[in-house]
Amino acid sequence: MLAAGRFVLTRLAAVVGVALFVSFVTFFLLRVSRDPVDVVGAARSLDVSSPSVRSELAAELGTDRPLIVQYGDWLSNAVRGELGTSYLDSTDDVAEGIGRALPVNLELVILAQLIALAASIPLGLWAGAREGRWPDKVVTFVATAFVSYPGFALALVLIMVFAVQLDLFPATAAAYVSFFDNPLDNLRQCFLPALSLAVPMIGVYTRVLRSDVAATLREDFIVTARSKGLRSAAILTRHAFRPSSLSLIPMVGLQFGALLGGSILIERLFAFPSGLGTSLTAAAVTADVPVLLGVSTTIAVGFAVVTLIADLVARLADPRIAHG
Amino acid sequence: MADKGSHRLRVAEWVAIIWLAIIGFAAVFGPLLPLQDPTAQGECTTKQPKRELDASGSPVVVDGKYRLIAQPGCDFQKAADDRSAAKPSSAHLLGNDQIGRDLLSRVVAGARTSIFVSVGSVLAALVIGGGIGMVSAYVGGKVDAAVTLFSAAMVALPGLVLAISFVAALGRTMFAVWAALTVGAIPMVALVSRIQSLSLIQREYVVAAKALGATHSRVLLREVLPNLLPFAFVFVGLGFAGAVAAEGGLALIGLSVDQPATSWGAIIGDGKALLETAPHISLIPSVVMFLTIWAATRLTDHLTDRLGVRGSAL
Repeated sequence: MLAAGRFVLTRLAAVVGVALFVSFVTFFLLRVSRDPVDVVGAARSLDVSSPSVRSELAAELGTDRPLIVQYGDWLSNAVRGELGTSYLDSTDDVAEGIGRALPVNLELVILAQLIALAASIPLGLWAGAREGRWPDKVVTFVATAFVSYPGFALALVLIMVFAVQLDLFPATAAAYVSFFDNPLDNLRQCFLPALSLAVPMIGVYTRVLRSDVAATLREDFIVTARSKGLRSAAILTRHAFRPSSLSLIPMVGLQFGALLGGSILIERLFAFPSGLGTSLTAAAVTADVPVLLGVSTTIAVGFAVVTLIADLVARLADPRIAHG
Repeated sequence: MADKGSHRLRVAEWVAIIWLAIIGFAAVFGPLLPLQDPTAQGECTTKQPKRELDASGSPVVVDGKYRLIAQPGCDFQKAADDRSAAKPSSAHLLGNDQIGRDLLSRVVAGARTSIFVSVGSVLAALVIGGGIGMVSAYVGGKVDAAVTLFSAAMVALPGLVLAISFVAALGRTMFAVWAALTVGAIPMVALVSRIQSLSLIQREYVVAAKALGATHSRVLLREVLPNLLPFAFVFVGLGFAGAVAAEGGLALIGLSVDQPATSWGAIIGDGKALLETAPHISLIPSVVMFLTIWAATRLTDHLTDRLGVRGSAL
């Protein structure tokens, strides 16, 4: 128990480290390369060539103080959940904006994980149980192809086939409705985006599960189960699946990162009206530091926490890790 | 995954090698190939050195740089319309994009960005990350613990987030994209290099070299480093595949290199709006990108078996 507490504490330190690193790098990169006075001045169509306007604006934004003090300020506010307001629109609260955008990305990530697991668990079991024979070869080949195909490129093919040709799903999610308002429409809008995110994951998970299942099936306790006369299907699902899922669980946790990153692209591609990607890309183009800083740091912290949870689950599933 | 024990290259691996050779050739020698100008929008524009009239009224070449010059008297709009989003033909083997630019030359021009940025970032990440991991394992103690903890946490971070900040700060240049992809890849390389170095450092020959009084740098460079090379090869393959996709993603949302340069992701993004009427614009670069990533993954799988590098290490 003590070991587990220590484990959580060191990992929490890592979460803090990552949050500091990401915000620090983002802050200094952006602030050294561009003067916020120019960005805000242009947004308010002020004459930024006049020194008095510049100094007034710098005083208002607080950019006349040393950079490290400004970073410290941002940090102490961020710890309290205050991420400031957008440079372009001072009524636009960054934290509120994230609160509006995040559900879209979370929904896509969760749907994608569900689709990926629903497809890869049967495929991985099937291929692993027939190691070296044709089902294994076919599944492995397809899985490798899936891993190689970037989700955003796949999304275009899916749009072309299922939206343009067959007209089964909408081609964009511009008319996005929340799941809680209209679950059916929401799922129709989110299916193609989630599927494009899920396909590479199907490849990753299937490959991992397949090789673990194949290895498990060579172990003594499986031979015992077989000699007791258990059917292959029962052996697979009751005896082989759990010990074979030990690499899969941390993998699923790790892929939250890749998926959230991917959802930023996919969400832009399907023209969701709001989302972290929409905020990030717009802020990147206009050098809107508070938005970029807030969104990047939120994502970084979110990930580090999800990975930590995934590790904890993996320890619960496999006591050998905790005691090893 | 090749069959265990069989190290011969099979058809798929040969296809992968030939494809990567073609793409590499296009990336390096693209500008020298007899292709149309990737930025020319119709028959009305030709690429010529800019000329100005001198005092006597005869044209002289200004600076020898080639620029797109519109032909006087040509119906510019009509020429562009004729070729806009045209399907593949004998004059334009892969067709034209939405404003009449030759897709074959654009895909070749895109290869330059995509491949240069990817290869460059993989190599830089290999040197920096590999070095950090190796030294961290060698030094050990608290430094090693901190490096490991930090890298492990950074690995989970989506590279796209940092990449967007880099591009926002440094502008839409090849350098910004390269820097972003490099920083994103370093933690993973550092972790793998550290784990491998850790087991190497305990081997007899390393212990022996230390006992004989070899300097730290000699032990690392002469004893540890050469044995890390198999993992380096595997990382180059996987890292390259990941970088091509990452650059494509950035380009797709308009955050990779700016005009007139282009990349595969940018061309895919260009054609996005025309999926219904001219799907070839998006489809061709995405197939090219897919084949490149597939080829790199396939060869890495083969190499992994061949070098006896355990897949789970990466």
